[in-house]
This record gives sequence, structure tokens and C-alpha cells, in this order.
Amino acid sequence: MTLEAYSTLWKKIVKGTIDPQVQSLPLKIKINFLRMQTKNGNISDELAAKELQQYCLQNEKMLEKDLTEIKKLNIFQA
Amino acid sequence: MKLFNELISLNEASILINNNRSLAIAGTETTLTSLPRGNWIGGTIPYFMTKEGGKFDTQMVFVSDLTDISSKIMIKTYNTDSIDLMPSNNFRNGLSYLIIPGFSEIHTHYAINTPSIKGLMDSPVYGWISGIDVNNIGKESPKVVNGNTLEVLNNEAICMHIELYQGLSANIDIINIFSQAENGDVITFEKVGFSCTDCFVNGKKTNLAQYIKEKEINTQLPIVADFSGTSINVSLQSVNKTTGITTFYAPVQPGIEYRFAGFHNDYLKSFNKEININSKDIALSCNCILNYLYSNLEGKSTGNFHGPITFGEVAYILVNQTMVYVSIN
Repeated sequence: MTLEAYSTLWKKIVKGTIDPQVQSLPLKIKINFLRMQTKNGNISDELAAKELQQYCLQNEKMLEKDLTEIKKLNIFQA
Repeated sequence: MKLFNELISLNEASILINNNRSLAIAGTETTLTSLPRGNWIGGTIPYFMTKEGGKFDTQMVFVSDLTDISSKIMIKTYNTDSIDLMPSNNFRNGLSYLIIPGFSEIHTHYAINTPSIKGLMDSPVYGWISGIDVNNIGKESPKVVNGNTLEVLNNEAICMHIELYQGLSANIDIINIFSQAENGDVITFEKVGFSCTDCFVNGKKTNLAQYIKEKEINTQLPIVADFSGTSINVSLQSVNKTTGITTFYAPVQPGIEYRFAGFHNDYLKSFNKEININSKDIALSCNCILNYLYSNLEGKSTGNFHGPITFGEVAYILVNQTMVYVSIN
């Protein structure tokens, strides 16, 4: 996956157009919190996507299973 | 990996403390303040899930022994100004066991602000909200105890930061038998808070108390948010049809779509179904007082889940009407 495609993927997850069925409770909470923040206009989609991507990078080991599945997602999904 | 989780006498608990064990202890204020100094944290509550079933007890204490998983521990207290620093004290491979006094400022603060605490989701945070005999609500306040100093606190949270032995890792999960009712009305809120008058029902401004009355909704059912497939409850504390005010046990948040939970006529049956699915080794667990009260859990078994029955549960964030558990692998 290219860097651009990876970044698009996180934006779509934050916007809710892609809704991965993750197993990790902290990741679920993180995604939901960022969605809430963007809905309320507290942060931009770009910033939220960046924060989510950073969180996943920092916790790659803990989120290994979910990240493997997320990377398989099709970014051209509606 | 299973840990020692038992309701024991004060004498037995004192022996464990004096043997330098690292413990999390639940009991009444009288029992907790009778214990000697040591490596322990405590919270008040007289309700427990024991091997024999749900139990109300004011003479014994419920002890979780964390010694066998901890290579190092650090006990810290946090108030509303310092709770944001909690993640910075977490061990890299760790588990934080947090107890917060119920109905306190720090309880409210944690409930509202946790999702924005930097680093909170980076390391497992498990815990519960301390409470009291429900017949004494309004007469006394829930407390936490720092076993190192024997300080009794009613507006600070106590945390045991645990460094896990190399090779061990902690995983926190929840069991929630409630989920959003299919085709239920979508309820949203304008601002964050433990109470509301008006909300939006399917986008239309509506008084929530009036709505509950008109729809004859069972107020034992929580409103439920869907967090990427996981249901997170907010339980109703009171519904005043005269003033039109509805209060909650956790804050409602704007930007989240809630629906009332679907009806469960047999909590224990639904719960047992869930615990059969989640039949792995349980290291720590706590269950909500509302599940105990509404489902009449006194004397009824909750399988391998043994721990305090609490006024709120912490699975990173504050949750309601939920069982939270930790497995150590």
C-alpha cells in the first residue's frame, strides 16, 4: 500500500465511510472518539486521520491483528 | 492466567499484606481502615461476586492478589488536576488498576475528559468506581484507600501502576448484554453532561423525560452507543417527569448516536450465554451494581468472574451496566 493510499484509508475510517470491525477495545474507543471530535467540528478530518494513524503506528504490536485486517481494506470502498 | 480473587477475613487479608503481597482490596470503609499498611490499594463497596454467587458483606474484604504478575508496582493518587498525567506513569509493559470514589468530582472529571487524555489508550487501564450500601446513598460518601499511607480519600483516584513480568501481557474487555434496540429511535445530545432536559429524537428536539413517559420505556434499560460494534451503555439514574430532568450514571456526549437498549427479561440467562462465550481464564473482573440489583444476583453464580460489584467500571473509559475483565496471557 502506498503512503497516499494508507493516508486515504485512515481518512475514510475517521469519516465512517469505511467501518472496520476491529477487535481491540482501545482502538474502538479511539476511532469513536475521533469520529465524535470531527462531527462536533473540534478537529479536522485530516488531523483526526493523522492522529489515528500515529496511534496505530505507536501501538503496532498491541494492534497487530487489527492492523493486518485494516491494511487489507479496499480504499475505493464507498 | 488466574489470580487469587477471594472474599476473606480481615485477619487473612492482614497476613497477605504483612507478607508484602501487592493487593487490590474492596470492602467497607470500616474494614479497609482496619487493615495494616502495605502494598495495597482499596475502594469501598459491600457487594461482591464470589465463588458462592453474588454477596452483600460488611465484615470481610475482597482481595485480588497481583503479586504473581508484577515485577514492579507504583501506587499513585490523582486529582482533577493531575489525572491527565496518569498515562505518563504507566509502565511500558503494564497494567494500571484504578479505583475512583463514586459521586466525586474526580469521578465526573474522569467520565467526561478521559477520551481526550493523551496516551490513555496506549496501555491497559482497568478499574472501578467505589460505592456504598445503596441504602446509605446520600448519607455517606464512597472512598478509596492508599494502603501505603492508610490515607482515606473521597475526591482523589488511587492507582496501582503494575509492571508485568516479561512475557506477560494484559488484555481488557467488556461483557455487555445490552445492545441498541433494532429500529429504536436515534437519540442525540447537544452538550456533554450527567443530566439533560431536551435531547434530539430522530433529529427532533424532545424532552427526554416526557419521551420516556410517553413511550413507557423501562428505565432499567440503558441508552446505548455503538462504538464500532461494541455497545457502550449510559444508565439512567432518575427521570423526573415534573421537572423534565433526566439524570445519568455516566455523561452523555454530543456527536454520538444513542438508542435505548433492547429488552432482556432474564439478565442471568443472557449473561451466562455471554460468559460461556468468554470462557477464558479471568485474572480480574468487576460488575455493575445495577446488574446486581436489577437482576437479583444475590446468591447467583457468575461463573469464573469474581470481584467487586461496583458503581461504575473502567475499561480505559468509564462504562455502565457492564462487566469488565482482564485476562493475562
